Amino acid sequence: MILQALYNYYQILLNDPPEGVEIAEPGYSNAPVSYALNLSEQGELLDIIPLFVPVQQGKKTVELPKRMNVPEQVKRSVNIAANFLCDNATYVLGLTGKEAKDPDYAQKRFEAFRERNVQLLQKADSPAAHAVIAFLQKYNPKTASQHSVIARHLEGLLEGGNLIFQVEGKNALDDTEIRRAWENSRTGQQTTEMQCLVTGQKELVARLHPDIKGVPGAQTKGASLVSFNLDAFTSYGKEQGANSPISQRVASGYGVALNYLLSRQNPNQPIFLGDTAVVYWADAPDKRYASAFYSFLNPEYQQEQEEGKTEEAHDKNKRKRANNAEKMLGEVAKSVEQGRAIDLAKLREDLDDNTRFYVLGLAPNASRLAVRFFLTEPFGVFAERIMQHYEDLQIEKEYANQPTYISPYRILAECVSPKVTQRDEEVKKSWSLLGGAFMRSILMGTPYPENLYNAILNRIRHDGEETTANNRVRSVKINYIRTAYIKAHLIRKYRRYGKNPYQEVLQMSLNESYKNTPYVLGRLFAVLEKVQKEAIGDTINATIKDRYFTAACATPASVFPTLLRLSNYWTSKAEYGGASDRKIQTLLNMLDAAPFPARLNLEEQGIFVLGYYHQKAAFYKTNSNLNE
Amino acid sequence: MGYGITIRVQGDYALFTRPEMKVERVSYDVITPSAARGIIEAVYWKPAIRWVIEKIHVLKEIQFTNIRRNEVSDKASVDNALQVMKGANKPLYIAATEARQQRAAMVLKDVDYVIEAHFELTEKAGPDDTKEKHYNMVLRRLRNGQHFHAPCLGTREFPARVMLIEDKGGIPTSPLTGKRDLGYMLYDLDFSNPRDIQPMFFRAVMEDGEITVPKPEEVRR
Repeated sequence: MILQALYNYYQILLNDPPEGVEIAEPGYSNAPVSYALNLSEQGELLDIIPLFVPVQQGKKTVELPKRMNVPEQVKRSVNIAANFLCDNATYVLGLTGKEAKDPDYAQKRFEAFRERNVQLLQKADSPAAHAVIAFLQKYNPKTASQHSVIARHLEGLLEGGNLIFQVEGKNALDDTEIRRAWENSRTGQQTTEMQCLVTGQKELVARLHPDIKGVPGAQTKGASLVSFNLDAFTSYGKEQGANSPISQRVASGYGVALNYLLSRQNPNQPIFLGDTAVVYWADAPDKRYASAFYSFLNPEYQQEQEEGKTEEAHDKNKRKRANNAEKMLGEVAKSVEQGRAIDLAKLREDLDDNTRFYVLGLAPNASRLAVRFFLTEPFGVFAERIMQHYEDLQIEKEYANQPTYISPYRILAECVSPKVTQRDEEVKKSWSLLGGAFMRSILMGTPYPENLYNAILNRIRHDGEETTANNRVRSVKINYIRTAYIKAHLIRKYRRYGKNPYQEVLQMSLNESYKNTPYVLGRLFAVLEKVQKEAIGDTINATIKDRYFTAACATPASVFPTLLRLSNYWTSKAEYGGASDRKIQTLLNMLDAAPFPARLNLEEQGIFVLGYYHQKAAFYKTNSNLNE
Repeated sequence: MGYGITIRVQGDYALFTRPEMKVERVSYDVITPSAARGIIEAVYWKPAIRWVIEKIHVLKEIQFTNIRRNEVSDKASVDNALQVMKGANKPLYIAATEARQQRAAMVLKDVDYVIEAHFELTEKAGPDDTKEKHYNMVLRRLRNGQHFHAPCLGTREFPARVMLIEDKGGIPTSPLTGKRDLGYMLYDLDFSNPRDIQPMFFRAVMEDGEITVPKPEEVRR
């Protein structure tokens, strides 16, 4: 399924290549190339031409090697294996900067390169092929550093980038004779014919599968999606690719498509959740499906861009785009709220809701890639589910500048202690499994993973409030994102049962008439905290929230009597203590005969937190109303 | 062919590994014919008969989940075993603590299938092997819940609950509607040449939760 979808996408790319991107044909792959060696027709090295192109990376412009289509590259680990006409300086020129144990380290590799290339090029009868052969036979790596042209570029060459050949300024790989020789050599490879499990045709089977680059955490040279490198993976005495017969055509095609999706060339960047890289594509040449999907899942990224840097002129465009994305999202959200079908025409002209859309989550595991999830639905279904997710998360904000749409990454980040150094790393590590499960629940419209709920409550239990450098208290313990998640979690959990026991509290803001015990207790706690503050002032070392919240939330009976006794002192001391006292009384009256349960279960604890949050938000609201 | 059986197979998890992703395992969307055959063979099999799967009904939505499991990197070596048999003094085991590897798997969750199958007599059938005999034996074993080894859903760690559906009218209707192309799927392995065992694939198409499995002759090429 996965490979089939990727292969289809490859065909789409091949027929309709995206702007500025060369999609490799079968037998070729896209690789970064640093330098071209310009030869004369007699095989003399005339010049070395740098092929770097400036690329915008964030605010900086960096010079990156040019990406070109070159003959498909071999897989290397420690073995010596030469590529055809495109390789690094060790192979092409026998140069190495490393102090290798083996004195012939570079020499051996150059000889392997020479042997393979000369052998292949002899089958091509063209001036370009003759020139490269002449060069390779004349060239001596031992005296290379004395060569004036090489000496000039020595430092750059040793950096390890790929080199290609030009003959009189023309790329040797564009030579039709050379291409034909290469393509012929490939079909003659020693492989068996089997029924391909993607196309169903009897075809030559790929022995090794292409490297997939760009999944963070995997090896930089690339990792394999399909590989059989240990005994335990093989069946019936079959070796490597024969264990899963996939034709060479398909293997090279899906590799190109997946590498493109993961590369910087793809305008719709992969989304990284923990260690999972999420790529997504539509079964259509139209790129707008994927960009719309990206905006859906990264609303904050757009918002941040919007807030950042206004002085620079070129940022204006970006901002405009971000604004549009935000507006689009808002419009779609609204249409969902009003129960209308999503009008994707509004999102961006005419996208077809029925177009198949694919989402693939890949995670690294040493030299292999593991599939975290693979989802396929019509585009409209995904769009609706994502909006449902955002709608479930809606809750009153603490501050007006908080994002309306909370990105999945933010929620995962909330599960890691704010005190940890290298937080991103920690998020990646601890949520490697949960990230996939969470993403899937969003995209499938199912309840969120229960572990995530436990983790959030756990953080609420353990975190204290944090004071930032400029002495402002940043709410960490119970904040906008955490409460929003708790609310959404409980909504989704009961959605499929039809009736939600907590229906009345899973709302945007305070529900004053709801008599659920945990909810009222949560509100009561917020009131008590406020009275304490009013009585003692802002400079309390440890508020009741710092000291009692966890216990009040889990075991109310052990804490609330103490707090209520203390509250008598606070109300008598505070300026408007009487009002608060009345408020406490009203809340106590809402409780049943046995007001303080011995313990609350996890769901009730969530409701407690919501009650607390809603009540606090309500205080804030009345205050700001008064100010107006 | 009159002697077909219909069984219902349920389980909390299932893993019908795709051959192309059998390292970091990814399951097929539904049970494969060979896995279904494996379940029936766990209940009843004799050299005289060969099970053929006719139809697979999918009774629950297809749901996946991720788990990580400890697996090992090695297989028990045949050469090694042969040498030990001939008297070589070698260790004959895999030390799980040394060969352990953790791997991710994408497995199916909460599965429920109905499998329609029949058996054919093979060339190994003797004069006593009548269809009626084997048919009644499998029925008896299914009714009593007997099996040779625990039937499982793809891999051993996911046991299957197997029960007999006596009346074909009693097959529950599937909540799945519409046509869905599941791509090429493993049909079974072709053991006809024991020196070169070849996998066979078929294009699985699910219509209203029903997959019609082609006959072996149609798949073999």
